[in-house]
Parts: sequence; structure tokens; C-alpha cells
Amino acid sequence: MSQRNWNSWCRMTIRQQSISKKIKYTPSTLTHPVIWLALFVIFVAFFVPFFLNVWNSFIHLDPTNPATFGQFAGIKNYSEVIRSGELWLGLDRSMAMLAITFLQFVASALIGVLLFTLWGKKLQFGMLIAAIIPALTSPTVAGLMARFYFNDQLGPGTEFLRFFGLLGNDQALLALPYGAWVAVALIDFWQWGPICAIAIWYFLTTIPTHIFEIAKIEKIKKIRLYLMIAFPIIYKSMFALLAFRLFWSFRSFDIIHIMTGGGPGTATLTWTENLQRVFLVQQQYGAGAVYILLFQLLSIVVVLAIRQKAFTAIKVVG
Amino acid sequence: MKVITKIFFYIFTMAPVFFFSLYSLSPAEQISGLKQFGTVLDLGIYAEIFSDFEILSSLQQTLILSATSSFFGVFLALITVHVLFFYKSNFVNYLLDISIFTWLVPSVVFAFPVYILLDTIVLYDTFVGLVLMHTAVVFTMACLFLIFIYSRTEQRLYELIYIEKHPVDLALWRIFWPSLIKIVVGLLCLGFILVWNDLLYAMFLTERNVEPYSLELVRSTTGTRLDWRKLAALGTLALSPIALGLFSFSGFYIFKLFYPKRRLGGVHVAY
Repeated sequence: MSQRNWNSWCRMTIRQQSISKKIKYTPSTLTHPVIWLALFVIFVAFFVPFFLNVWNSFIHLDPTNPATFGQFAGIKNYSEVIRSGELWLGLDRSMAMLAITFLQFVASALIGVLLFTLWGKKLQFGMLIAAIIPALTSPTVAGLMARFYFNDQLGPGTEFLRFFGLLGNDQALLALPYGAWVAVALIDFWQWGPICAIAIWYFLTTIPTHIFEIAKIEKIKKIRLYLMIAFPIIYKSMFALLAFRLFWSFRSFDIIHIMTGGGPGTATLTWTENLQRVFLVQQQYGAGAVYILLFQLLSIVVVLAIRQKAFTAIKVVG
Repeated sequence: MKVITKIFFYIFTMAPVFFFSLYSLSPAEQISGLKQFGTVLDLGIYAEIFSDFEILSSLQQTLILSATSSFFGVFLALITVHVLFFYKSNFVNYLLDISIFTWLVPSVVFAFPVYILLDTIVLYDTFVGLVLMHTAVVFTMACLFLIFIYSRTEQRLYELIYIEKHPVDLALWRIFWPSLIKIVVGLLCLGFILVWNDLLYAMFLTERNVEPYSLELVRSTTGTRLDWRKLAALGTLALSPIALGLFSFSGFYIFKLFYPKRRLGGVHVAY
């Protein structure tokens, strides 16, 4: 059947509404080879590593102790990890990162409102591109850029801070515990702040314009307009964006690894950076497997909890 | 107010990248004194980089790795999602769960179990192992987008295809493909950027045989003396394909991800 005939046939058949009621689906999903290929990819890429990791969490896998290497350890790895301070330290630092991300989101919302006040209908294409470029920049390059800007000898950022007296001549921002957090927050905001602001601007444009017109006639204050009227209308989209930012921040690894490597000391030793240390530096594979398993279980609980509400629109089958 | 905001916005987003790239063009004798910075531009460092076999090799490897992984990942996701929707399988919901789960948990959680797996099946530190890992990651990313897009297709279209007894593959290429082509190109671009930017899997799954570009960048930061000019040049090179792709295709493809065609094979689909 040619394309034209197929199109006209479709138009004709759509009018016959009663036909669709008589159709009975006969699910024959598993007979298709592509489904088996997808199942194979998912099994190899996700389920095999998961079960392998569960197995490893019960085995002694510390190369510094060859006498017990490969032997069954029971729940010893679990008890060691839970009793050690590193797990809780990493979670503490990750929570600090989440708090910073929340503040960044508030700042992005303010910028988004400013953009909406100035450009209510259409934003310049150049501004969109300018916001997207930092988000698509490799975190490795962003981390290197931050190291360059806050270098204690030739960094323009350091020069700037010293000029305004915010940093002593004998101090380096990345060598101070709070300074390292400030640098991480700045580069993270540079990367994700503009795109979040543009997203909030877009959400605001979806609000019917007559609401703003009525607010103008009623002389409602801007703060009240956005806090009491505009944001409650778009709260679902904003919540989804905030959730995305928080998860992305919690899973981020590259920027902190490149910029501070968890330091100075353990000031920025987030959960992911700590896990990298346990595996690649200390080579405690058994303890690392426990770390991973704990986080996987936590993630499964989170997915099951948020999926029903956040992705109801996507669930179409069944 | 508009002009001030616009200038501030452009400076905040673009100036760090621009200044960083400009630093690589500064002659070696100027980099110690920022006061003279930018007075003379010198492309010498790029000539030095392009004559370095290791850097060129890692660039080539990353290009092939990104292109291959994004191609396999996106097309496997397209075919899978299409078939699952065609047969109205419940499995699509589980696939969605797995994809969300993959993007919620930190990559490091996957990296180590996969490292153990690849080590077991003798694919650790091989090109194939890294391609497989990235293909799985791009597959889940593409599934998220494609499930979202397919779920918005009107159900009557499937019913018509059932009545006509159209084969599943023909339905993909003749009916869905014309409306999906821009989305697929957009996903290929995103997949490419995703793999190009990756550092973590490269750190965990390679040692010396395979050396992606991001790893080369990190390795150049270690050592007794850092050459910031070279580092700035390497960083600029890492940014260049993304910037080029963005300026070339964004207007046509990337923004279209969220606005698929409203006509599918001549049928007006309302969503």
C-alpha cells in the first residue's frame, strides 16, 4: 500500500468509531526477538552486576589481608561499614551538598522570575544557548576551570577575592574548608543555575496571562503574586525540577573529585567521593559492595515512592 | 534593566568559558603575569597538542566510543520501546522503572559492580567493555524520552495498525519514523555528549589499553608542574564538539525533543 493510500485509509477508518470497540488485543510480546534482546541487555547490564554485588558484600575482599581474601565473611562487612564513621561522614557531606543545591534552586527561581518580568512571552535564542552551554559542559572541564580560576597563584577568581579583602594574601580558597564549599557551590551554580532559571521562566509562561492582568488591576504586590498565585499553579513542574536537581547533585562526582578530591581533609568528602576512595584507593571491595547495596536499596525505595505520583502521566500500559 | 540583565546573564554564562579558552592562546612568557594577559595571542600550544600522538589517539578513541555507544543505545531503545508499545506489554512500565532507577542512583553505584563483571568476563580495560557500559547508559536515557513520547501517541493509531495487520517493523519505518527522526537525532546528540563528558566509567573500567579524552585531561593535571596553558587548550578541545553541535543542530533538533510532530503518517494526533 502506498503512503497516500495508507493515509486516506487511516482517515476513513478513524471515522468508523465503532470498530475500535470490537478489537481484542492478544498480547504476544514475548514472541518477539527484540524483547529478548532488550531483556538480555537489561539482565547483563543491571541484574547481573546487582546480584554479583550482593554476593561480594558477604565475601572478604581486602587485598591487604591475603589470608582471608575470598572467604565467606557473613555480615562482618555490614557491621564494619555501619560502625565506621566514614559512611555517616559521607552522608553528612552529601546532605550539605543537597542544602547548597536547594539554595541554588531558590536563586534560580528568583532569576527565572526576573527573566519572566522582563521577557514575559519570548526569550532570545542566544540566551537559551548561553544557558545550555554550561549545562552541557563536561563536569571534568568545569572542575578544571574552577581549579584554574581559584588557583592560589594565577587564578583570576583568587585575585578578585583578594582585591576585595575576602581572602588573605597567604590563603587559597580551595585550601579552606568553607572556601572549598563556596567554590564547589559557585561552579555548580554556574553549570545548572542558568538552565534551571530558564526552565522556571518557561513554567511561568504556561500560566494564563489573564491571571497576571487581574493581579495588576487588583494591585497585588509582586511577592504575593508569585508566592501565593503563580508558584502554586506551577508547583508540580517546579517540584519535578527540584527533585531532578537534588538527585543530580547527590549523584554528582566529577566536579568535587577534580576540584577538591574530597579535601581539604575531609571537608568535601561526599558519599560518592568516599565510595571512590574505598574502592580505588583503599581497595576494600567487600566494604564497598556493602556501601553500594545500601544505596541501591535506598534508591529502590525512593523510586517506588515517587514513581506513582511523578510519572503517572507516563504509565500508559496495564 | 533589560540590557543590564542580558549583559549580566551573558557574562555569567559565557565569560568563564571564553576567558578559559583565551588563556590557552596566551604566549608562555605571559601566563605568569596576568596584567599582560591577552595582549598577544599564540596558537603554539594547539600545534603542540595536535602533534602529540597520545592526545590524538585519546581524541579518536573518544569520538568512536561516543558515536558507537550513542548509536547502539538509541536504536536499541527505539526498537524496544516501539515493540513494547506495539504489543501493549506491561514490560514497558518495568523498563521505565529501571531507567528512572538508573538515573537516580549515582553512577559510581553501577561502576564498581560492572567493573567486577567485566573483569570476570575478561572485558575489563577493553574498548568493547566500555562501549557495552555506555550503550546500557544511553539505552536507559533514550528509553525515558521515547516512552514519554510513545505514551502520548493516540491509541487509535495502534488499533488501525492492528486492523490492517501491518507488521511491527513496517509500522515503525513507515508510520512512526518520519515523526521520530528529529527526536532520534536529538537523542543521538545527547547520548554523544553524555559519553563524551563521562569520566567516572572511564576511571573505573579502563587502565592503559583504552584512554578516553576526559581521563587524558585528568592525567594531565597530575605531576610536579601543571601547565595551565596546555590544560586550558585541552579543556577548550573538550568543549569544541559540544559547542559546534549545539550551534549547528540545537535549533532544529534538541528543542524538538519536547515538541514531536503532531502528524503521524497523515493522521492528526491530538495530544
